Amino acid sequence: MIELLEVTKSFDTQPQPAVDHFSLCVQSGETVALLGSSGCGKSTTLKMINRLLDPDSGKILIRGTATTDQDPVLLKRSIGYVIQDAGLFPHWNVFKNVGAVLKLLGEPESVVRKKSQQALEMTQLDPTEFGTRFPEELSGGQRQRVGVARALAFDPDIVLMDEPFSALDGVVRDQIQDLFLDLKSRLKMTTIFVTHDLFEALKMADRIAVMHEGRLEQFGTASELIHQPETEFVKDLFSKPARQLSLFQDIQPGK
Amino acid sequence: MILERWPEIQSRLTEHLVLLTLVPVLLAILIGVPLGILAHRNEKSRGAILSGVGIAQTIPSLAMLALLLPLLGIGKPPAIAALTLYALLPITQNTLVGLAGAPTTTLEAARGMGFNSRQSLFQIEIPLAFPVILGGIRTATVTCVGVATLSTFIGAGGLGDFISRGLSLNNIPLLCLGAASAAFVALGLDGVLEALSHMTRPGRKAPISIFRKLYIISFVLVLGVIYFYTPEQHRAHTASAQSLPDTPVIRVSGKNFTEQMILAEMMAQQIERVTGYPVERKFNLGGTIICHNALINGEIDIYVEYTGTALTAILKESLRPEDLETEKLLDRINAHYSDELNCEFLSPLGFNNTYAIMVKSDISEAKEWNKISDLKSDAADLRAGFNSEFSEREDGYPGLARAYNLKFGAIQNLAPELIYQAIDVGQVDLICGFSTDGKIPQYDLKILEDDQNFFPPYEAIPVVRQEILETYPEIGEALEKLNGKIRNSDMQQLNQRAESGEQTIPAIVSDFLNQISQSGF
Ligand SMILES: Nc1ncnc2c1ncn2[C@@H]1O[C@H](COP(=O)(O)OP(=O)(O)OP(=O)(O)O)[C@@H](O)[C@H]1O
Ligand SMILES: [Mg+2]
Repeated sequence: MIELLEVTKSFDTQPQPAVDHFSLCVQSGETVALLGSSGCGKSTTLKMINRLLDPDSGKILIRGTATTDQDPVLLKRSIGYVIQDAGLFPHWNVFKNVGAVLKLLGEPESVVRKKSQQALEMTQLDPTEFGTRFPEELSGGQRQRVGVARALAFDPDIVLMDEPFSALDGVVRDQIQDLFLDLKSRLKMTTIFVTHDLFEALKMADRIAVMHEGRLEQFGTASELIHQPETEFVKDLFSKPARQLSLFQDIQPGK
Repeated sequence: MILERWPEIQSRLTEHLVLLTLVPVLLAILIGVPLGILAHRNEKSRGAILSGVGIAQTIPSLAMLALLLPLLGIGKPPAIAALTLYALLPITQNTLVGLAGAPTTTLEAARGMGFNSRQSLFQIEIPLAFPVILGGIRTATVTCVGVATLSTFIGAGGLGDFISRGLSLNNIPLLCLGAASAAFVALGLDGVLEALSHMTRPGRKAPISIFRKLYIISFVLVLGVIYFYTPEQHRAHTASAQSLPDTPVIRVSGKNFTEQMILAEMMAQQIERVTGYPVERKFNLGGTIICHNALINGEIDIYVEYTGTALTAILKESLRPEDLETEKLLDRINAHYSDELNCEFLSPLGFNNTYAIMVKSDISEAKEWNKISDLKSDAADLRAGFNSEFSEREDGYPGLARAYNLKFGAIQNLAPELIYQAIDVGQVDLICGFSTDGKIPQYDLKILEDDQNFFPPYEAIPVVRQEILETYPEIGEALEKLNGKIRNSDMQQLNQRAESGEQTIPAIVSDFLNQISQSGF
């Protein structure tokens, strides 16, 4: 469904590539987490998939066709995209933001309205309360949820999400994750999402791609990564929670 | 004072508000916003565009008007062009700054969601930049209202007319009327645009404060009152003459060059001598348009105008063959003046201050040159000294050459101050000047007769407000006595004496009046 082959991308600002011979094959309906620390090239990888950026070398196939052979604007309109920091349009209210792609696709106003409302409800935002607010009148977490609603409103079969839930607190975050999983089980869209939260990756993803300094360290299920780590980095990353837990357990009562 | 001028206030305000502010600002928006977008999208063009629109700003306003004069002439077009150039920089610059200020995440979101370049520009970038663009429009508007007061100097009208007339006539209330109206327009438009930019900022529109609403409402109300109220005294056209006092003060005026000062002084002395009415001298008023406007608005009563100037510069008509007869031309001019302007031309003073081709007297005698056609056989060997305006203008050398079918061997373009010296030292053989120049007798030059009647007549004639002529007929009679009394040679002598500075103009004029009254009125 989405296939990256030896994709490399460098920026003028730094000598080493931001993404370095990166290959990944995501099956139809699968959810994949791009996991890695800040600056390792996750957003850059995502942007190359919907052609916000073009790779220096390598190839990306979507629905079996190279992205370079597809119309860049139409390609983007067929993919739900949640931008890091939400990126809402400040001069439009929540309804207009959420309905933006539906409008671009030429849907009639009634459909735009109905689907925008559904998308907002899905992200636990009451349309009557939030629909007419402007982005500046929302909290950071609410903005992020509008960003997610905007990407899902037009029922795309591919969704790319760049740290979609990073600004949410534990409780709401858990709820939204559950809602997303529920939605997923029904709609079966192919999803790649970026996170640097290990637990979010474990909870949401069918498979996890661990990135480090632009390279793919390992790509596999949670079980594979925990029990058969292929690199020191992966081993370290996945043993850390256990070590932290032991810190927690070491604390004796009364101390 | 204000009620008297009501109709003029209305028309000057309209000129200022519509022609000298809204039109240039709209033109600048139509040019500047696309330029700003181009500069934003195309990095290579940015420097050129910014320095291009910036240059206009560095030229002082008056210099700009002067620069546009030869291109567009005088009147409203050059003023509108200059004001448009001034308005261009803030609008272009703010468009660029506004577009560049859009948050990168927003732009990336738009692109990532599949907005094409045009959709992103019109749906996202321009709406986000709009308040900043509007800020540029606001700056441009206020600048225009201010700079437009200067356009009176090239005859474009507007509120600056009050200011310049107030300055020349030393009429402080009139000056204040102009300045205050311009300030009122600037502040009012500024308030309206500020409210607009408030309303267009992205996000929720905060309600407009009551203060700002009141401000705008009062601006609109005052404008409305100015346009829709007509004071009692202007409702009927007849009720104007009744208020003139028995012993009037006659206001005599003239343009800003020597000959006009002599003529103004002459009319003043003549009125004082013959009628005994006191005269107020408002000399050195300015150019033709300023004198004319002062006259028809009743700020002065009399000045001397030239027939050719009245026809072309004031009435904006062209000369017809039958106009060569002064009387017919005068009838034609007076038809306009008495019906539309309530003023009247009296009888010609006697001289015709037109363009003249002249040669040295001794050479003209030797070669028997008396008329311009006499030059024809020698033309190819002659060197002509013209000022550059005369060389270029259709009613100058090009037309002359056609009318007489001659072509001089060499044309030298000379500064007006140098022309007479050039012929004196023999650097050129003939020159073009004005027929009443004081330098003609000084350098002993001979004016060649314009036997093809190519140059239009510029007969000097006093023009007087009808109100004055009707209420005090003695004034008209006193001035009619000067009819035909000043010949071209007289005017040359008077100009020469005044320019030599040996005697004051009043003394020279007094001598002259004594002299002609002895020879009998
Ligand atoms: N437009 C750009 N120009 C120059 N360098 C860039 C650009 N975008 C990203 N980079 C660099 O490329 C590297 C990878 O950036 P990227 O945004 O992909 O990181 P990331 O994994 O998404 O990090 P984070 O978790 O902080 O969002 C970084 O070192 C970054 O500085
Ligand atoms: Mg990122």
